Amino acid sequence: MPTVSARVSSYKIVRMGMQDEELVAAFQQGDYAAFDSLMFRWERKIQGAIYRLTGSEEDARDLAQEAFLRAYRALKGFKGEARFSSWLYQIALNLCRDRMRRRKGKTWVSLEELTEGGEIAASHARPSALDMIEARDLSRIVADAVAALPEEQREVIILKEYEGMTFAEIATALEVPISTVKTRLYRGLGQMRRRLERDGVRGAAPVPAPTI
Amino acid sequence: MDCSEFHEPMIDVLYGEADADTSRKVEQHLSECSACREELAALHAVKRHLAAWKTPRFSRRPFRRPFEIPASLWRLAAAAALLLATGGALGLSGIEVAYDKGPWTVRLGRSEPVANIGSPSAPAPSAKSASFDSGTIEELRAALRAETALQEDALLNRFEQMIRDSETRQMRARGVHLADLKSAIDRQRRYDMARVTAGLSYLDGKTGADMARTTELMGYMLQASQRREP
Repeated sequence: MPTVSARVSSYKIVRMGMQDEELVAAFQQGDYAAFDSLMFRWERKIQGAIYRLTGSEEDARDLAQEAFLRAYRALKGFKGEARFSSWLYQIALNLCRDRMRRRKGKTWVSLEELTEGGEIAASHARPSALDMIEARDLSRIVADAVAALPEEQREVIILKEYEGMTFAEIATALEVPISTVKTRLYRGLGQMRRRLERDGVRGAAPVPAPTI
Repeated sequence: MDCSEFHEPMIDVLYGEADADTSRKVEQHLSECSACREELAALHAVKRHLAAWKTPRFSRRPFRRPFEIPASLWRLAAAAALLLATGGALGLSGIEVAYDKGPWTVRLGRSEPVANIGSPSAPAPSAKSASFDSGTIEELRAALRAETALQEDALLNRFEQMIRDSETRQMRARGVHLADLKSAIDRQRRYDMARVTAGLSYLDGKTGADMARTTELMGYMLQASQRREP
C-alpha cells in the first residue's frame, strides 16, 4: 500500500522531470502548484546570484522572495520569448540594481576598507595576501575583487561564471547585444586579473599557453 | 597587429563557446602573438580563482502564494462602494421625498425641522411610561434578581464539579503514566546492566586471550634469543 509520503515524492519526481517551459505552460493553464516546482528548482541559484551581486545574505533572502513573488504575478503574461530562467534572472537583476542604487553603490564593506584607516588597521597590521590565502581566504579576496568591478562587468561575470548562462541568455537577461556581453566579460576578467595580481594571488601570473 | 579584434573571439574560446572557424583563427593568432597567449593564460587563471568564491548555504523558504481577489469580487466591491457613496451623499444633502400629498416631490438641502405639527399642547412622550405602576416594576426587578442569583449558584456548582472531575481524571492519568515510566526505566536499567556485564566479560576474555598470546610470544622470543647466544 503506498503511503502518503511515497505518493507525494513520486509526484515530485514526475514534476522534476518536466522542463521549465512545460511547468510554465501548466501554470498558465491553472495548475498553480507547478510554480512550487519552478521555485524548488531555481530558488537556491537565484539566492546565490543575488548574494554575489549584492554581497548580503539578507538581501539574497529578501530579494529572492520578492523576485519569485513578482514572477508569480507576471507568469500568466509570460510569452516564452526568452527562457524562463533568463526571465527570472532579469527580474532578480532589476531588484538588485534597485537595491544597490538605493544604497548609492555602497554594497560591500571590503576587507580593504576595514583594514585601511579603520580601527583594525590601528590595532594590528593588515595581513599580507599570502597569509589570507593560507587562511583559506581566497574566497573573500575574490569576492572583494568582484565587488570592486563596475556593476555591468560584475553582472556578466556572475551570470557567466557562477550561473553558467550562455552569452545569448545573458544578453536576454541584461537586454544588451551578445557582443556587449563579451566585451564586458573581457574587461571584467582583465580587471580581476590586475587586482588579483596586485593582491599577490598566486597563479594569476601567466602560465604556459593552454591548449584550445 | 591589432589584437583588440581578438578580444571577443578569445572570450568565446575561454568559455568553450567558439565555433570551429573562430577557434582556428584564435589559434592562428596565438601562435604569432605572445602577448595574447599570455593574456589568455592569465584569464584562465582568473577563472580558476573565481571558482574559490563560495556562497553561504541558503535554506529553502516556503513560498507564500499571494492572496488574490478575483476580478468578479472586485466588480462587486466597486458596485457596493458606489452604492454606499451615493447613499451617503444623498443622506448628507438632506434629501426630502414626499409622495403622500399629490404628485412626487423631491427636495434637496436641509430643511428646518418641523416641530409639533398641529397641536402645540400635546403631552410629552415620557407621560406614556408613567402609566406603568411603579410597584409592578419593583416586583419584576426582585423576581429578576432572585432568578439571576439562582442561575449563578447553579452555574458555579457545575463549574466546581467539572473542575473536580477534571482533577480526578488528571490524577489517574498521571498515576498510570508514572507507573509506565517507572517500568520503562526499570527495563532500560536491566538491559543496560546486562550489556555492561556482557561487555565486561567480553573484555575479560579478550584480555585473557591477549595475555596468553603475549606470554606465548615472550616465550618464543626468549627461546630465540637464547638460541642465538653462543
